[in-house]
Amino acid sequence: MEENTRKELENKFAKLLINAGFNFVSGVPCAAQKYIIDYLSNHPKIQHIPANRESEALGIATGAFLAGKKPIVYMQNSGLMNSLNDITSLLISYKIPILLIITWRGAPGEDAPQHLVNGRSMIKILDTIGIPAQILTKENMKLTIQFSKTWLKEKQIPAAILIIRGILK
Amino acid sequence: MKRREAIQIIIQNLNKSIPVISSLGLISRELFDLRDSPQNFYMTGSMGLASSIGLGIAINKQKIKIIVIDGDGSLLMNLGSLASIGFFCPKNLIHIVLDNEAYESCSGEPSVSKTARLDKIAKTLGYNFVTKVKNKLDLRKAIKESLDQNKGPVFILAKIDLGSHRDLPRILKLDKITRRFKKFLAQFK
Repeated sequence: MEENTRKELENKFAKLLINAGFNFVSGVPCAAQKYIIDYLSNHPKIQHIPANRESEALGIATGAFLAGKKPIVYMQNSGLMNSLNDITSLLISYKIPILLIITWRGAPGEDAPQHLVNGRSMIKILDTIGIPAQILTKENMKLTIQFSKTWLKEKQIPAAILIIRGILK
Repeated sequence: MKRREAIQIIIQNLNKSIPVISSLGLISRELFDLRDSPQNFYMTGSMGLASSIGLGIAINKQKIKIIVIDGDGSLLMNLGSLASIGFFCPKNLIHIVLDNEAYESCSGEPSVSKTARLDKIAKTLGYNFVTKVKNKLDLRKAIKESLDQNKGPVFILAKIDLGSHRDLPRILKLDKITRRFKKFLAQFK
């Protein structure tokens, strides 16, 4: 029952992303975004090119943007840490607007110890490099996408939407 | 063959409607110095990603050829990109690696490409046309052949010599490069 609700909500979020005009997606999968990735990768309006590392996903999405697409890159925050230089020296420095959908592992209340340092530093890191981060809930889906879309268009640098495990129910 | 000579040969054989993604650091600066053009995207900071950017373009602009000029150190940093390119197999992607077996944009510290057999790896991972060249004549031939046919992804491993001048101009207006290159690409399907 709870799984069905989660699926519906993640699919709804994916649909809203497509309606907002995003048409290209790359990334490295995370279980917390299972139904989002699944919906996007099976949708005829979306071109999906998965990657081996988050850096690679950002590179592929940059190429897609240069070729006229509106890209999304999905990842876990472990991958955000992997690819920080690519975000700063490519996406921000060259003004490549890509929507980042990032799972916030190590969020308050989580117990997997390997994620805790990333979890407690992520918001500060994103803030320091100037990327806005919004936490997705079932109530704010439209709003987060609308804000991101406007941000990408006006600032021409990435925006991030954060997914906390189990929050969509 | 020095890096500058290799880049000269590459651009001599390209008309102005073929996009070029160049890797950092002296490769991009050399290209910028030799022939700045809207067709060039100089990737100056995100080491390893030139071929990934090339892949993202190639699958979206299937009517034109895309050139990536990579370095051995950069390729080794993102070796997984070869597997992705092999998997998605864009026929229009020409991936040239200038291999001097060193990080010459730093201080010439050795890389491990001497024993890595990068050409064999590319072949194994799914590139359709792979060649290794050691002189200008063979490089010119390989580029012409790749441009004439649609048999990619192409991998050209060009062995080059160490020792180049470093007093090259720095690319400064990065966001302008993005806009100019995006506009250039917009004219193609």
